[in-house]
Amino acid sequence: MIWLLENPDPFWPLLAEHTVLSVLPTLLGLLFALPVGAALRGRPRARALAVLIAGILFTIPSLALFVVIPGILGTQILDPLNVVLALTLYALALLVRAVLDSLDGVPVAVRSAAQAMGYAPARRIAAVELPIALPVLIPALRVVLVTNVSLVSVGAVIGIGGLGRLFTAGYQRSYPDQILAGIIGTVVLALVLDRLLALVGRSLTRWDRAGRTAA
Amino acid sequence: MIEFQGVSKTYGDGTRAVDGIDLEIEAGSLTVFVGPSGCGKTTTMRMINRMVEPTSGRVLVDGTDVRDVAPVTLRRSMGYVIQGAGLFPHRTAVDNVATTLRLAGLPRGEARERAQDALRLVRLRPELDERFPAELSGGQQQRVGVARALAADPPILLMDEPFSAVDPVVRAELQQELLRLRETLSQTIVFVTHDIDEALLLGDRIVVFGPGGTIHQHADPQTLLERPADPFVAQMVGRDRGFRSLGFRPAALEVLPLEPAADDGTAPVPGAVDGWRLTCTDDGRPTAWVRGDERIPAGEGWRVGDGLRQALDAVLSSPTAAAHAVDDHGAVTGWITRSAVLAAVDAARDPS
Repeated sequence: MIWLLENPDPFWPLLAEHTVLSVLPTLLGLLFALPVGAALRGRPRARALAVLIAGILFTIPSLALFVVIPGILGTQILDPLNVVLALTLYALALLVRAVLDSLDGVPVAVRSAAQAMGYAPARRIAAVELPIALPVLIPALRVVLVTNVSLVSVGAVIGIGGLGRLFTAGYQRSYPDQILAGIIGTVVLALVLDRLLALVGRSLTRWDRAGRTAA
Repeated sequence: MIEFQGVSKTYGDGTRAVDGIDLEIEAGSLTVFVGPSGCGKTTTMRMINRMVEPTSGRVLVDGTDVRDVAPVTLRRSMGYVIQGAGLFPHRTAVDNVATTLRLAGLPRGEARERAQDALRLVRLRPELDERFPAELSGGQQQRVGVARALAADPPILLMDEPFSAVDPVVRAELQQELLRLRETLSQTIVFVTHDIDEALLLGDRIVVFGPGGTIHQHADPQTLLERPADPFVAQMVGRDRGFRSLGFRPAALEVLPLEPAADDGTAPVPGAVDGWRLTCTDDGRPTAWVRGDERIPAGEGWRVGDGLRQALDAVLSSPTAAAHAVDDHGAVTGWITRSAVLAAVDAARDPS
C-alpha cells in the first residue's frame, strides 16, 4: 500500500481506464443483447442455435480474443478498442441468455393484455416486458459487470488493462506492493460497481418488493 | 355490429379450432360465448381484435373487414379484459388504467385523471389507486382490469373469462358490478365463459359453442332454457333449466296492499289463516316471521319487477301462503300470494 500512497498520480488514470473498459462493454453488450434476445423469442430453433454459439463464444480465452481481434479488424495491437470489443462479445454471450430467461418470466396474461391494448411489438417490449424482466436481468448484469472488471486486468498482458498494468509492472520490478495495490484497486472497483448497479436495480424494481411485503 | 361470415380457424397441425361460423352480434348487446374449454370461444373472440387471424371467412365490425384495419389501431378501439386481470405488475392501479389512455395519445396528467374516474366507476376505493397489483386482492385487480378496458371508452369491450380466477363470493359481486355498469354504458360486450350460470345471468344473447368450434345455438337466455336447440345445449344448461327459465319470465303479479302494523310491530299477512305475522325494521325491511314463540328469519322476499323464479322462490321460502314484496331498497311494500304465483307459473308454462 505504500506504493499507492506514494504514487497516487499514476493510480487514478489507471482506475479511470479500468472503469471505462469494464462498464462500456457491459452497456454495449446489453444494448445488443436486448434486440437479439427479443428477436429470438418465439423462434425455438434460432434460439437454441444462438444459445449454443454464445456458449462456445464464452469458452474462447480472453487473451486469445484480445490478440485475434486486431488480426481480424486491422486495429492496432495496443488499441483499447480490442479489449472493448472482446469484452462486449463476452457480455453479449452472457446477456443474450439472461435477456431470454428474463423475458420468459413475463406472465403470458400480461403479454396478451399488452398486445390486446394495442401496443406495437417493440414498444411492448420496452415499456412492459423489459421493466417486468428487470428483477431477473439485473443480477445477470451484475455478474457480467464484475466479470468484466476482472477480465480487463488480463488486457495488461497486451498493454491495455487499467489497474492490471500494476500487476505486470509489479512483477517486472519484483515489487509486491504495486501488485497488491492493483489487486485491491480491482476488488474495490468491482465491489463499488456491483453495488451501484444493485442500487439502480432496486430503484427500478420497487414494485417487485411491494408485492412481497404485502403478501 | 360485429359479423362473422363463414369464419374458420385451422392450426398448422390440422387442429380445427373454429369451424365455419356465421354470427351477428348486435351493437349494444352483451353477448356471451359459452361452452366447454377447447371449443373455440376464446379463439373466436380473439378474431375480433385480430389477436387470431381466421384461416378463412371474414370478420366485420360495423361493416368494415377487420383485416383492413392495422392491428394496433383496431385493438385500441376495443377494451380487453383478460382472465386474472393481466395487470402490469410494475405499474400502480391508476397507471395501469392510464396505460390505455396514454396509448390513445393523452398527456400523462390527463390520462391519470381520467384513469381515476374509471376506477371510481368500477368502485375501487381511492386509497388503493397508488398500489401495485401485487398489493391488491384478486377482486380488486379484476376491477382495475375492467377499468383499464373501459377507460378509453371504446365502443367494443371483449371479456375473456374475466371473473373465473376469483372466489365465488367476489365473482358474484363483480357480476353484479358488470350488470350495474351496463345500465350506464352503451358498449357492445362480448363475454367468454365456460360457466353457463354466469352466461344466463349476464347475457342478453348467448352463443353456445360445442366441440370442434361450432355454434349450437344463438339465442336469448329464456329461449335457451325453454327451447334448447339440441341435446348438447340441453345438457349444457343443466337440470334446473325449467325452474331457471322462470327467472326470465316477467311476473305480472298483483301486489296486495299492506295493512297497518299491529301494536306489537307485526304486520298481518293476507291469506295467512295460520297466524304467521311479519316483523320489520323501522325503515321497513323484513326481519322475521313470527307465530307465538316461533321465529323464522324472513328472506329478502320478492323484489317488484323480478321474474317468476324469484317470486316462486319467495312464496316457497315463506312459512305461510304469501310472501312479502319489496322495493329496490328492500323495504316491504305489500304481499304476493302463493296461489297467484302458482297460477302465473301455470300460465307461463302453458304450451303456446
